[in-house]
Amino acid sequence: MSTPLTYDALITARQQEVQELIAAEHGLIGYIYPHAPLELFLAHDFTPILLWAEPKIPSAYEASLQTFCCAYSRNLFSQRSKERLPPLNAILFPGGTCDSLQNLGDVWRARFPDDTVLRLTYPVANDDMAVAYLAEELRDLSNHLEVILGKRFVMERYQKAVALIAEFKAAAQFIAVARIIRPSIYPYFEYARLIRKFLTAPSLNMLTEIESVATHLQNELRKEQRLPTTEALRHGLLAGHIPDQIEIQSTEEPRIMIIGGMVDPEGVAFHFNNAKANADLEDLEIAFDLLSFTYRTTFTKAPNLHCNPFTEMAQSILSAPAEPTQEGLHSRLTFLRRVFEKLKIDGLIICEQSFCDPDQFEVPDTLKLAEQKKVLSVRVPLDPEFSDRARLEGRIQSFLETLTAR
Amino acid sequence: MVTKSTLGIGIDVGSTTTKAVLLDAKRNVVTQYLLATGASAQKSVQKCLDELRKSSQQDLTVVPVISTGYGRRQALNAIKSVTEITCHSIGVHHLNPEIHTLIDIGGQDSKVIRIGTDGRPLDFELNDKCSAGTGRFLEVMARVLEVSINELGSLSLKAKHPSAISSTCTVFAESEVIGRIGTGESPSDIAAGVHKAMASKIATLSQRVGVKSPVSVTGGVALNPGFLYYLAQAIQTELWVPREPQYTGALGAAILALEGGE
Amino acid sequence: MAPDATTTPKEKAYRKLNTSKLLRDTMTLHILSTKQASQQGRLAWVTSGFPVEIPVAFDVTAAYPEQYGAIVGSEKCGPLLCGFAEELGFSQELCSYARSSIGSVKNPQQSPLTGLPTPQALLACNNICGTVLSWYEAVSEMTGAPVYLVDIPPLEGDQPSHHLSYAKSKLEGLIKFLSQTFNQDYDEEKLIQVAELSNEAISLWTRALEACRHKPTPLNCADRFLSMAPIVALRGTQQAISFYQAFLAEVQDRVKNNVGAIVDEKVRLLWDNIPPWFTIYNFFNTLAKKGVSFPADSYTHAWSANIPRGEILESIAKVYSNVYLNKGLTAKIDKMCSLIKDYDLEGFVLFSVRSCKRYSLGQMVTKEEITRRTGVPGVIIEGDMVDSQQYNEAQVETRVEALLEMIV
Repeated sequence: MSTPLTYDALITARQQEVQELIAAEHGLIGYIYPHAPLELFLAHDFTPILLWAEPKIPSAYEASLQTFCCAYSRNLFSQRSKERLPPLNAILFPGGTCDSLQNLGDVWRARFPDDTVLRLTYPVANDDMAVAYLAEELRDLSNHLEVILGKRFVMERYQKAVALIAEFKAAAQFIAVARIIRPSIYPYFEYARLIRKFLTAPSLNMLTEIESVATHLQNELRKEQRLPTTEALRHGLLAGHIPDQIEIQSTEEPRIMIIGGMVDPEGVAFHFNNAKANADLEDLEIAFDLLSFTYRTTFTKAPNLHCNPFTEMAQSILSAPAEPTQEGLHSRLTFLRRVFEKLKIDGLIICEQSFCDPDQFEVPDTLKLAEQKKVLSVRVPLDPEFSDRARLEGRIQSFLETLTAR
Repeated sequence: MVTKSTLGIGIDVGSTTTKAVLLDAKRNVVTQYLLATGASAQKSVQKCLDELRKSSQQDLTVVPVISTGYGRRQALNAIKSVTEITCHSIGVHHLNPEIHTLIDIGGQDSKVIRIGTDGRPLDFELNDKCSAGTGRFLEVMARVLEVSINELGSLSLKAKHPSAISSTCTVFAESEVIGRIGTGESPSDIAAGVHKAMASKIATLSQRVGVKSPVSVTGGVALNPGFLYYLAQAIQTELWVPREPQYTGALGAAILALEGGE
Repeated sequence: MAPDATTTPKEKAYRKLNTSKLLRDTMTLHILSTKQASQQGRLAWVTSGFPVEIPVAFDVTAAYPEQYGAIVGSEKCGPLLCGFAEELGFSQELCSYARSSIGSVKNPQQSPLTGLPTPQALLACNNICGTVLSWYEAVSEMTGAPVYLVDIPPLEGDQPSHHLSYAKSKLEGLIKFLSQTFNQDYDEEKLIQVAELSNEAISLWTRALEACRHKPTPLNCADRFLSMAPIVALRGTQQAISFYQAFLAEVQDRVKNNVGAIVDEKVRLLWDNIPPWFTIYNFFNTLAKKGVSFPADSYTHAWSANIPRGEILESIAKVYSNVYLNKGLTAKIDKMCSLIKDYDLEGFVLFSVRSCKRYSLGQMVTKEEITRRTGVPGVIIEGDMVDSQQYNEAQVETRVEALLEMIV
């Protein structure tokens, strides 16, 4: 599928796609924070659907949320006010991740008392005690699903779900790493789309689609004799590090990375593509991204079905890398330094969501590190509506012009 | 002071215009006056009072004056200053006691007031931070569409397919409008989209206070037929506009002046 | 124009506390002690809701960046210091306490009191908001001091046992961290003593707050915001107790003699949120001239829970898990409604602090709910606690006046 010409057309096409994906499913439970226990919902025979921001939603939040609430939260609230969310049996809010989403859950309950609002509160640490805490929260959630929504946890369903999600993640990881090895191997926009479609409504069909892409890329890399490197890098990243023996080939083209939080990867890719087209750099591809809805979601360890499901799911969730909602700025910076060095990054695009505390606090140290490592960076303030589209593309274009001139 | 007066003056010193009303003891309007506030609120207040005197042919020196509006403290001969929330509420209640929800759209701010049975405000919400949803928004758009602010409303009523302006911020909406002119959308469709967007913002502001029909609209923008049309659609109620919607604040202040300032 | 103030120009509408000198001296000594502690390698920066009894039991002195933020605000340096942080790349949309703190670390010479003394540890507890972790980690990168986070996830309703276990485990981790960082053994007996000292100060403070039920109120908002300093910064010490003994005595004396914080109390209101430090006197004293007092507020009432009897770490975990800002919107509304009822208040002012998402988001719902439940009217005013650029005096004045016109 080729990239639509205008952003409007992209959004319309996506909305249609979402309708189709959702129509095929039943028992929808919406969630917002990407590190949700998808396996748990599936085990209870619900379909977890990630609630994306809707760029064209007219604002309808002013009666309930101030403008300094994070832009994502406001967008979700506007969608609900305008009844533009899919038909949900329940909606899951996160607790303990950030103050906007924390309050959004409370305000939602007050404004939409007939909605079934669930909350999963996350610890900010990821040690054993944090795992134990989250496991209990997951158990409580499971009880709620049974008591409030009348569907039991079924072990067989859980096992199937674990396999489904694990295979999706493995495929997504592979594609991401294949792209690190050779960015031109598969368009970033398409990679973002595959992940988005799966997270919108996880299904075997979507898994098949992403797996076939991964298999195709596997074959290409095998021919290029780069498959072992790819797999070594994938396993390294999954363990949170980059093995010493990884050698990325230098290229003429600059190697660009994107970092950011809960921004829409496809939207970012779309505007990046416009910017590069304007700069006559059609063939340039993003090499690597560290965004919440792609890398930080897919590079998590799957539950291994040997232990208590709740403990396993808690461990899986807390293995999510590079999340600024979690403790450990210093280790995130250490990892980023390693990425710059080993993955030969030349340029960094920093996406900063409007009024997002975790995103915005991370930026200055990221900029400083990039400067130290001689990585050219550009800061791109964003909102889910991509309101300031022209300026955003202008910024990226200038960045690309400077980068390619180096 | 509780003694009732035979005449009362209300002055509404807004950021764009200053309005003055002279009432008699029966609360009939003897005379009224409006002018652009300009750089000196004090000067415009004085001018208003001079005009009231000229037009009424009376010595108004002992007539109590109550001031309201953004520059209310600049009316140095006022016995008291009262907020425009209270004054608009009282003014509209006097003109139409059936009104329980009042929407006032000024040049720089907009407000929604829930009026009690005694004409006093029960609750209110203000938008004084963001120019979208105020007269300023329409001024900016009129300039982009190259029409006068008076023509903008009737232009919007000629729309066949109102544009969907999604930006909530005046600055972004302006870019959006320029973009749409560029792609050849008709000015009337764009004008309609602009009014629709503003009506939507006001509708949201109203929800914070609660909308009870019939709803009154005051302020300069109440003279804009396009805005009224789209607002009625957005809040799904009947709208009632006083004959002179810019004077309701000064009217309310004048009523208070008659009542001895309480 | 005839004056509408009820006092002559020479007489102030508000009364100064005699203990304000003692307060200044107490806090000056505290500041000096933090400098000394830093030089001796025993200073920690601590968040306002942190279980400070534990570091105090390790003979670690605590300095409070949030309190420093109040000083920055009062000295009207908010925009300057926030600007320094913005030069480093911190967005204007971020908490102004954090920005001004980071700004003062960057440019201490241009900061009030030349900034807070260099810390050897940064102790954060996220029971007041999630921002503190990001803030302290940023400061850690700048100063090299290690961070320890007492992670207390937000609660709704009663604390489940797994939450208590987790919070307690974080306190155990804190003890290990402090032992290693400050090279000292944990002494449980000492901690129990410190907790008792803490409780004593809190009881005195709480009694002073409750005395404000009296009409006229012996304390107005600004009085409480200033005199809360020791309960925040010196909890667990004898100095806090000494101060609050004198403070409570003065409060009780005022009550006995029917002396109000303001000269002519006509209207009693509730205040919500951190105050605008840069205009705190102007705001409350201007209203005092109109006879408006604030006998209660949600902010100073957040330091009133005693550490219960029982296993000490568990008790500390319980108290610090249940602070006002950690309990969700409904709990906030409940608390404000009961303050309105108990203190016989006729209206409320919700300060929508742009910097503080945890405290401020949801105030629109709060406003409607409080009026629905109590029948009293309220108003939301907008601004910030430190960044004066976000505060428009005329707009705030109009809203508060309109509220008063609805009450009188």
